[in-house]
Amino acid sequence: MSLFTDIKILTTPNGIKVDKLYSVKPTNGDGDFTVVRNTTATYENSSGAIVSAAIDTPRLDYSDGSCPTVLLEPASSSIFTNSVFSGAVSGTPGTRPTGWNAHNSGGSLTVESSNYAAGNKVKFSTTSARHSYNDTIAFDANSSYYLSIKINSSVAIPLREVLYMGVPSGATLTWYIDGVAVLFSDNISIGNSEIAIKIATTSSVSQLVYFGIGIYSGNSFTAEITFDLPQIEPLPYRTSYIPTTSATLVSRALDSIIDSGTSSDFDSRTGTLYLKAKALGQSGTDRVLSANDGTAANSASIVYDSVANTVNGVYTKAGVVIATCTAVITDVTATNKIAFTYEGSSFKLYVNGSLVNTVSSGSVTASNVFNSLDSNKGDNTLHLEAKVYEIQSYSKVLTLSEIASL
Amino acid sequence: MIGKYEFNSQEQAETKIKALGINSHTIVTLGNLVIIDGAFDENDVEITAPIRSELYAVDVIWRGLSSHPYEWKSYSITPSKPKHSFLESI
Repeated sequence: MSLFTDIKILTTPNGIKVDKLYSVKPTNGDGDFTVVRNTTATYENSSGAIVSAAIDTPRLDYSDGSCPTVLLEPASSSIFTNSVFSGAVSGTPGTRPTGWNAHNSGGSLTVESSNYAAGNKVKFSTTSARHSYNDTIAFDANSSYYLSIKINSSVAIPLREVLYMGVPSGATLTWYIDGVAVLFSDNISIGNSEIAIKIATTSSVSQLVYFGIGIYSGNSFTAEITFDLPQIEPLPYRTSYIPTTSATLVSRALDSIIDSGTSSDFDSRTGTLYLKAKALGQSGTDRVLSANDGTAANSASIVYDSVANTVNGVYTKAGVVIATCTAVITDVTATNKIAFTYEGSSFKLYVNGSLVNTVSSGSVTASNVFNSLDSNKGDNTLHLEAKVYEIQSYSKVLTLSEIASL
Repeated sequence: MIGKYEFNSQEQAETKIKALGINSHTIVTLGNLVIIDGAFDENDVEITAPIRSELYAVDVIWRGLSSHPYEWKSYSITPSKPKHSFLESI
């Protein structure tokens, strides 16, 4: 008998409609997730374009390649205003994007179609220095921000010459190219890259932010660099593009998928919960996928822990944590296959087909207690923030070899 | 329904939000918004600090509600030039 026969709930990035993420199993519709998101949101479609999904509609996102993921993001806001560059007009030296100040000493500006259909890319071409735009951004105290922008450069050039801001008093800046921390002086790659600055503040401050060519040194560069999809958000990592078309800050609501299954789809005494996903980033809070009874009191959960690169399997009965299986893994933002099994007083956590932690403790709850699979703790808190490839739930404990085959 | 509010302090706003309990609303705490931008000289040195509102701003998408919750209405505002908006919402 194949494992497919045993699966009670199987969900992949597949069929969707407003309010619904269809599950492959069961086929009677009981396993379909209800989708909640109070706003529209953007995602990358199979053609590489940034498009908008309607309210309460799941996003099948292709930003990681040819296989889509179900994109589950936290709420976020973009404080990079006028980010669609709607005021940009091609010319010499070019009309700046609406709301931004020019700092030109030569060169030209070309406008191209953005990957976001309603916006523009802007391309600086120059043989001189400090051909750039800037704006004043207000940052709150004791907060983390992520400033990012997609670029395409004709030459290798130090990062600080392309994207720059001064260091606010008491703040810490970390620079990134394609999500990898780099030095302020490192060269950006030729071709498409995402460049970013993570800003950790200790006091509220306003700071000028620049993008262009030859910003830091004032030296001359011969280069063509295209900028697209800029964003500054109060998170430690970039989420999907939040277009801003004016001087107004804009917010997107969080994603939640809930209410998959009925009590007949679970056995709260014996089961396996499986998640193949990438965490979006290192959150300061636990992030949870759980089979539960509609509350946080009784549940079996897979958890991205608030501690860096740590995952857990957690079983809770009557509000008391019975067992926590935990493991430190290489990178929660990589694709990982996490499985948590529970039966009697035995609880096991598997990562990428290997048993990583076993706990013998207490006992599971009675049968027919769990009745829902949710991208949260069961009480609409600790929402999962991830790119999800697959969710599976079984009313049996899978063996090591079975889990290794998933 | 979207509501915009200005509370007397961060503490007051946090008390109001906590009193809502667990919910499906979208609550954005904007804090003490900048009402006049700071100014910088040609060397990017701040010469005038930004001026922030003394009131603490919160914007909410109320899921399933068609009116302000109890004790929120008196803090609601309708700014002529809002500093914040949502993507298209419920």
